[in-house]
Amino acid sequence: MTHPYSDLPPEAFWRTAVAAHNPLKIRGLWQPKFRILRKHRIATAGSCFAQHIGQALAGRGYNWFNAEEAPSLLPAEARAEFNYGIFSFRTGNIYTAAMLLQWLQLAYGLRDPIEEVWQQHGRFFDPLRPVIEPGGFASAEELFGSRESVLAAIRRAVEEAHVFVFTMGLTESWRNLQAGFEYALCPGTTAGTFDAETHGFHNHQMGAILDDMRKVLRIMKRRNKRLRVLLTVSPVPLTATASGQHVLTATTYSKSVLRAVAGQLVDELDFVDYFPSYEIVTHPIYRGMFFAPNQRTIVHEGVDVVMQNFFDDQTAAFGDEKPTPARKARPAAPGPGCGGVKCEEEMLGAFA
Amino acid sequence: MPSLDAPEKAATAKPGGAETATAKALRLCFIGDSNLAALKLGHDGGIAEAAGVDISFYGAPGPDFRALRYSDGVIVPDPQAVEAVKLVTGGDRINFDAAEVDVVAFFAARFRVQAFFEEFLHRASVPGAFVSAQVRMRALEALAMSTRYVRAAFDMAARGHRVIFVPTPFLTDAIAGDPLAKAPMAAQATPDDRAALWDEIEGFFAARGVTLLRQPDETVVRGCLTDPAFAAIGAEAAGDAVHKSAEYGAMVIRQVLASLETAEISAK
Repeated sequence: MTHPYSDLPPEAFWRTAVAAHNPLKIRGLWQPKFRILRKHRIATAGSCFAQHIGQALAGRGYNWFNAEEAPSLLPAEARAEFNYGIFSFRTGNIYTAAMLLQWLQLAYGLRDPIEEVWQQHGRFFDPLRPVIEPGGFASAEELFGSRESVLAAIRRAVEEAHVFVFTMGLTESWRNLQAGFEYALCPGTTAGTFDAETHGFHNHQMGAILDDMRKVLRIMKRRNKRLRVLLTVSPVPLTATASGQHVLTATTYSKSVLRAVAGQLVDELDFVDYFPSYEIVTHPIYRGMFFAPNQRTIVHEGVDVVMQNFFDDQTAAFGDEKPTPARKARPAAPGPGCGGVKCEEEMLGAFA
Repeated sequence: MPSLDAPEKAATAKPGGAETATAKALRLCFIGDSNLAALKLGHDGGIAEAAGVDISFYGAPGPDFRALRYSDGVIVPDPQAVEAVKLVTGGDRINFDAAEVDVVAFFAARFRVQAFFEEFLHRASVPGAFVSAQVRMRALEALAMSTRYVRAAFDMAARGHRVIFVPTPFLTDAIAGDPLAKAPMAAQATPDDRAALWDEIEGFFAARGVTLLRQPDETVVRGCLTDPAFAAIGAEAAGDAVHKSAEYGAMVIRQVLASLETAEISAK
């Protein structure tokens, strides 16, 4: 007698797909919905792990889309310092779906401008990206001039990209309770002053995140019909939680919710896919080998394995791409922070 | 310090003639690359009045300029550049020692601000291309500090010498294609836009003890190009957008002299 499992391929069974293999040799974790070619413009945004993806794509000669280019005279180290070339636009890390939605709504005039400015020692900080300009801006006028640039770059990225990669990072966030907008980081950690009357903690629930992501995808698709979206979940644990839970269980909760949202969206929408970088880094079969001793930072070898899976699974699904000699692989811009990645959340560690 | 206030005691300035001046004449040496030709022509043509100032020139054109080595206030040419230096100095000076003059005025000397103006004037007019003053300053710092004779100027100033720097003039318009093809909006810049960038460059140099002199507005067209009226003779036929006329050179000399006079007046 046959049953539904009789004819399933080896990758459907743990023994043949996992237990029998060196974990570094496991492939086929991703069955991509769409092909990504070197010529495609690929925008990246999200949590700090998205920086690795952008760098790896650019390093392999893929057309990573820099929608907010640094001045050509600015030297490489200053580009990284001023957060150029880290993501496709200078938002800094976008940790939550609500924050991505907020940026898109601002970019397309779908919500009122956010005019709050943090002043410190005569300098001006953008509460939506407080570490984007080292030492802050010279004036509020300059801050908003720069804000206009990033909003224009977001529009470019959405409208001109072929693929938009978004790495979901956190469910926890801080909001302005009166004005109803979300901050990039808790006020008072990197800049600004915390005020319990004004600033409220919010841990996004799955339904709300799903709603926010659906709105995000609707805005994007309306502006760019050919756009495809690739979701990932950051494998980097929370630096700190304000949820009242232990940071380890809070991390599991946060990542589980985000992973479930990604899965749901992939099931619902043809143009949305999920790449399992989260599983490759965090799954017990990899025995934590991709984490640095602090069990949080991802080591370069881990990023390499993740990206090798990415390229191999693309090849397995669609075949080799013919080499395009015209586009040379370019070295990724070096960046400070967590092993070359700018991780604003890391600042919390310094203030905890 | 010799004064500008005693023209009757000053000798007539001669090119390369540091030794021909009277003791009280202010010794001013222009140092530069092939752009010095405009100054020399302006000076020799008598266009620039230089009473009370002994003007000399030091430098070498193009590749030979790169063979001039600077160290501790002194410039020494590599052997292959000696003849080129002699041509500029009239043969009586091979090495340059900042201690032998009262004022060192660098002209051009490979400090090309064209790229700075093009990029930031263009960005100022393009929605979404805004950059902060900090970013501009870092770009300026990179541009300036990658120029050997800007570093030399700062070092001379740090050693107590009086130093002026006049950057390479903007490319001449309508000579060789459109220099602003990659930064078209720069052509729309107003004199105020340009002045704001000059202010930043001046401030950067002043903080390091060097007086920077900006290109006169009356010579500028289309945001950051030089009016073809100031092109070197035969520039159009040669496709030479770089070198400038004797009139332009004379204007620079007058500008430098005026700045010295202003400095003297302010010092009193």
